[in-house]
Amino acid sequence: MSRTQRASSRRHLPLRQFASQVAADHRILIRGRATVLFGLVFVVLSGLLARLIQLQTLQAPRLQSIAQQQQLATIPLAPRRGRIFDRLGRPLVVNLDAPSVYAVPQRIVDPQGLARRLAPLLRVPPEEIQRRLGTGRYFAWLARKVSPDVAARIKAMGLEPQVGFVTETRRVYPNGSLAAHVVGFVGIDNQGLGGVELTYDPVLRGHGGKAVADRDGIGRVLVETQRTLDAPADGSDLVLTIDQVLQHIVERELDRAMAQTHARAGSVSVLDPSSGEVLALAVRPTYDPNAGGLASPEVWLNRTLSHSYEPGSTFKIFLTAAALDSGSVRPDEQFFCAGSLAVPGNHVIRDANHEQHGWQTMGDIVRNSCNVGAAQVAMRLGKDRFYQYIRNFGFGDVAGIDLPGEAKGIVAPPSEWRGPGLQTIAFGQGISITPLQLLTAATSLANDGVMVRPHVVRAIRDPQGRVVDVVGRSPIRQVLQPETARAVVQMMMGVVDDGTGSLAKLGGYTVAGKTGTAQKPAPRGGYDPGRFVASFLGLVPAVNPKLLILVVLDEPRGAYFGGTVAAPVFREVASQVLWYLRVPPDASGFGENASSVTKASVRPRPGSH
Amino acid sequence: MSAVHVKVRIDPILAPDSKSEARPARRRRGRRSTVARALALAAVAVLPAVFYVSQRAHAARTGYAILQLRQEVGTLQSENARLQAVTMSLKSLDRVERIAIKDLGMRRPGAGQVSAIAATPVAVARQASMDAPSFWARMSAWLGWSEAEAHESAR
Repeated sequence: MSRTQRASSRRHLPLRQFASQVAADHRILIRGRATVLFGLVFVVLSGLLARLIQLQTLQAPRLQSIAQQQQLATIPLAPRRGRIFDRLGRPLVVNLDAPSVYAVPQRIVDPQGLARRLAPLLRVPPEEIQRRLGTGRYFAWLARKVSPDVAARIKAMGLEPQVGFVTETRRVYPNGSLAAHVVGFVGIDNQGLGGVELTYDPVLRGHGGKAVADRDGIGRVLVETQRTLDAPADGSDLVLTIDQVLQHIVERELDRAMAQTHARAGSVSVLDPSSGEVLALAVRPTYDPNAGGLASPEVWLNRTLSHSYEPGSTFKIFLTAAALDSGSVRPDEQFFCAGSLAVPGNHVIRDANHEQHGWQTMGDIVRNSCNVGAAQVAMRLGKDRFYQYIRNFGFGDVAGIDLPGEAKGIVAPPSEWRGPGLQTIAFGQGISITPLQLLTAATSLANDGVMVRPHVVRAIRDPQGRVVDVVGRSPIRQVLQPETARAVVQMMMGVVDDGTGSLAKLGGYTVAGKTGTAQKPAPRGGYDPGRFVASFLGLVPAVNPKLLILVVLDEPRGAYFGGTVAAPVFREVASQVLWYLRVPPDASGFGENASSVTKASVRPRPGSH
Repeated sequence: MSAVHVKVRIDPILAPDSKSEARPARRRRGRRSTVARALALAAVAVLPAVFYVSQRAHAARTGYAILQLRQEVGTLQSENARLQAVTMSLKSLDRVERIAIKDLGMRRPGAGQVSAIAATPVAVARQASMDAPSFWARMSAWLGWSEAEAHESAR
């Protein structure tokens, strides 16, 4: 029945039926509307359900990842680079926080104006800042590891969010250039670039970690939600064999010698010959590790182990050792020095100042540094045997110290010793070695013929301070018989007593040493008559050596003999170092001129050598 | 019989509810209790949520405070490390020696001013025994002085 029909039929109904009919119509109407409404709601809900299914199942992985990126903050946990201490635990390197400044180029409206404002603070030309701003859209470094003052002044300019700050770690060397060639330096990302910073970079570096945390609406980290995914491990600390005080003494004396002799370069090394520990190692020219990257690469060179030179007469002690050890020459055997000696290749070997030494034993040859005598000894020894000893002493090979950049030197095989090669090598010309090789070889004289590997790291400690590794004595090989080593030391004592090294004499201590004065090769072949390397190698006390010291001065002006310019440096260094280490005197005559007496002189220093 | 034939259009309307006065009191009371129950139920359902949210808000506020304190600690530690580095620089031997010699006019002891003498173990032991505190000094320290003093020589 249609609506019109129902209305027409109602006109003829009694009132009661009429009301009932109206109520029925009302219900029908309500039901209809409810149906429509329900249908609409159903459609809407169905749409929502479909969308829900789409979001929650079909697109769930992608949306979850987007949500995580927006809500989760990944916090890199940077490791602390290990510190470096001297042998008594005094810090040589520490870490400091340093703010770095970055820019968000897409937010910068006026790059030129910003560059002009920041240039004076960052001490960078505005053009350079503009160039850096052009390197990225969302991020560009403006300056790395600036001082806190500079960062504070930039913050005060209110440039955020165009400019932001990140805290990084900066290596600081509080003693400046002290032991620069041992400690080394790092690059802008704290990667080791020299010294033990480079050799032990994997130990010092540690490894970074990662944590995640929720962010709030404005990007702040919600601490309570933070959880560590990968815990960081700080780098281990290094304890060096270097003693800060000894290093200071050695550097001071080297600086003084450099100033007096106007030498082009120089080095002084102090070793404990029994353990191979390097107690001090000074090299000039030097640099400040705090600005290591700005220094000239030439001054990075650790001349003790990276620079080869012809050692001159200091090499005679190894000739002597080889001759005695092999039995080629008896200690009391004599050789005649007429001041010159004709050798193959129409060459003539002469002694310094054309001195004629006459008949000489091995001890005399060493004491007087007689080239003619040494050449005769070498001829007796023979090329092959001499070469074998040279190689056994470690020349021509790296000593294996834990510092980077060690050179091998140049040791030609006997087949290439042309002309007077054998005779000149006998007194240290025609062979290139490093000061470190000389020191390593000389450890055999102090250890009854056993060579010991030199090292600069004494121990490795974990971040909690527990020792995890100790670097101890590392013998390389037995090169000489003990009697030979002692005999050579005895001969070296003669050098200091009344030979060419008398300026190295120390009151109260026996000293065994050898001077060296080597001509430097000329650029166009042959040797330069005006350029020398003066050196002195010494053991003190001679009987039971505690110190092995090598002084090398490159191209001193004026006086150039090793006994004149290098031996006094040895004496100054040795006297102060022995005093500092409380090494008791071993020779007669000590105590003379004693105006003050201290008990400490005979007490071992706690925790020292 | 006259039939009333009114030509009117009657549209369906919703019948108004009967007045409340007309309802029985019992029904009104029943409705009130239903509302109260609903409110109570809503309160039971909502209150834990409110409590939970307030706790989360409190935790977040605490987190912000922790974050700020961490930053402050970091700043102070950084400043402390910087000052220690400055201290080390100021105490560097090179600087100390330079000031001692140039500014204070000090000199290193000459060759004849400092000498070393050999000491026998007996002499060292005797000196050590002289340095050690006496019995009475130890007793006095134990009774009235500090323990540290009891182990130091009386000088």
